[in-house]
Amino acid sequence: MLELEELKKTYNSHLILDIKKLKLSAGIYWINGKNGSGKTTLMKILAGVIPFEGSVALHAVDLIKEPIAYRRQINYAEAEPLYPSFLTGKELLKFVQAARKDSDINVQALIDIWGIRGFMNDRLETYSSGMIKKLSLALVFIGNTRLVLLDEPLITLEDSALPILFKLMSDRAKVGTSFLFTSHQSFPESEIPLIGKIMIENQTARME
Amino acid sequence: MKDIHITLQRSIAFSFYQQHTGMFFFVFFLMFGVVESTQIVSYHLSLIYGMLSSTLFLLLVMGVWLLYFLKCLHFVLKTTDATEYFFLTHLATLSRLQTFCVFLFLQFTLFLPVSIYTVIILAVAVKSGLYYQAILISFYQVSFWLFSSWVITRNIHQKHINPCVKIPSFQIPFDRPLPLFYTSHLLRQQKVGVFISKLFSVAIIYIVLQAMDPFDDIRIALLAFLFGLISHSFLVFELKRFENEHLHWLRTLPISLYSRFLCYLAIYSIILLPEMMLWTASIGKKISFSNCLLLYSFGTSFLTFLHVRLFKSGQTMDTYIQFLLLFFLFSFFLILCKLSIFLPVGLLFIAYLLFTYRFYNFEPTPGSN
Repeated sequence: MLELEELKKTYNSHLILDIKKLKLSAGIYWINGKNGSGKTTLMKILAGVIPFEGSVALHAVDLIKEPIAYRRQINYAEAEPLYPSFLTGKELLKFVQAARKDSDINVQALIDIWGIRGFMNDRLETYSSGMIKKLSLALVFIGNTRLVLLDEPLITLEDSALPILFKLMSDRAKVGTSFLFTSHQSFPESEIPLIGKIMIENQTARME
Repeated sequence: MKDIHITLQRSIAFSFYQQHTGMFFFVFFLMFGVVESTQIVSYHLSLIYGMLSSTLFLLLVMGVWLLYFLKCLHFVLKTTDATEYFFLTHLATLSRLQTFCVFLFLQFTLFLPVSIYTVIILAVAVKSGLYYQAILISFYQVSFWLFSSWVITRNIHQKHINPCVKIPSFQIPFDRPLPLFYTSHLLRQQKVGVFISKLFSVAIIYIVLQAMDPFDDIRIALLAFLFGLISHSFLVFELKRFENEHLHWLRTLPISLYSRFLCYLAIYSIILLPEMMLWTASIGKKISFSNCLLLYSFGTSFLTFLHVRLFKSGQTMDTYIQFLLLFFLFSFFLILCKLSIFLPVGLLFIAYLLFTYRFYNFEPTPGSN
């Protein structure tokens, strides 16, 4: 599914990641690592939003050679999402829906699943951090993506919302969507059909 | 696509016009407020004929347009790279042509004030048979319109590629004291804003110094400096925003209000260093030492006062500009009335009182400064 080769990332000549080779088959993976180990950097590289050296390919579509086709297959939710405060939730959902060419049915279903219909017309400045998180998790499931990257999806999320996320991940995994997620919080591993864990340490990544 | 256009208009175009209300107001005043209403048409026709008949004048106008276009481009690039606008990366899933068209339309909205005036210029040029100038102006504007849309599209689609030219990062070889937190932010995040403010401010001081007779009326220098200081008002607003968002934790530190206030004086003294150097260089030639001190203290107290005034919940760019206009007129009046000596002392006194009263009562509200 995902193939990384000779992937390097430096910040001001400080080496953050140096992954010689990593191949992942389809499924759900939990990325582990200490603070500052490079988990978010790896996520951002895979999402195609920061420069890097080396190659990244998803289902044989190379990020450098076919960036648009690659990005259509991938979606990314940040750990602490920020949005312009004056936009409404509805505007943001419609924007992503239009960019990702998704159906109204899926978007409306996501609004109901996350229970955010009540404040869709409110400005984001009135949202709590938990509501913003739910909105970002609704956005990440928009579009026909084959890999979803979730950076700390559990933080600021209320306990009752965790089963919603796990069910969505499990349901999407059944139809072929893969997931890479990071989490420092513990969660019932039995609720997600995990394929494996990826450990990021010493600037590289390995399967545990 | 309609939803994409609407969101971009709401989030980028609207913000652009909102943040630059002061600039548009100033230009509008220059274009329509300095002549009598009965003479507006002939005034503008003279301007347009001057532009079309003089190569130098036309080049000057094209230079001003270029500055505006660069400002628009910089604003869009800065916005699309901002954390809050990370969701715009979804546009990279559209084809390049679609993204280009999306930003072409956005640029059209941003260029609208220039475009409307250009249509009038083109109409006059065509009517007067000045086809060469009309083609040149059209080509120039369309080229930049296309170019800027291409640059933005490229920026959206190539976030995964290392830039061709890397600016080496400069690390200060000592631990930054608090005032440098602020100035470093400006130099890193507001390069264009700092450049434009400094260019305007230094240029106006330089011109006035050249035109002044030795030991001339100090009011001329003070009025010129007042215009220069107004050009820094956006930077003050930006610093307050930065303080609210990123330096909120400073309030918990055991620092006395007096030291905190001195910190603001230090920040604005550093920011005004180029202007101070110009004034210092003219001591004994154009101005006296005491007048130079008056100019120093006027500049620092003026900007510090503006900063301290923003310690009030619900301050938006609109309310700030309204106050700025009144404050400008008030200062202008005091300088003209030869009461300028009271300006720095009065401003510092009021600023300190306001600061001690408001500092711990201030709570930034979302969507404002």
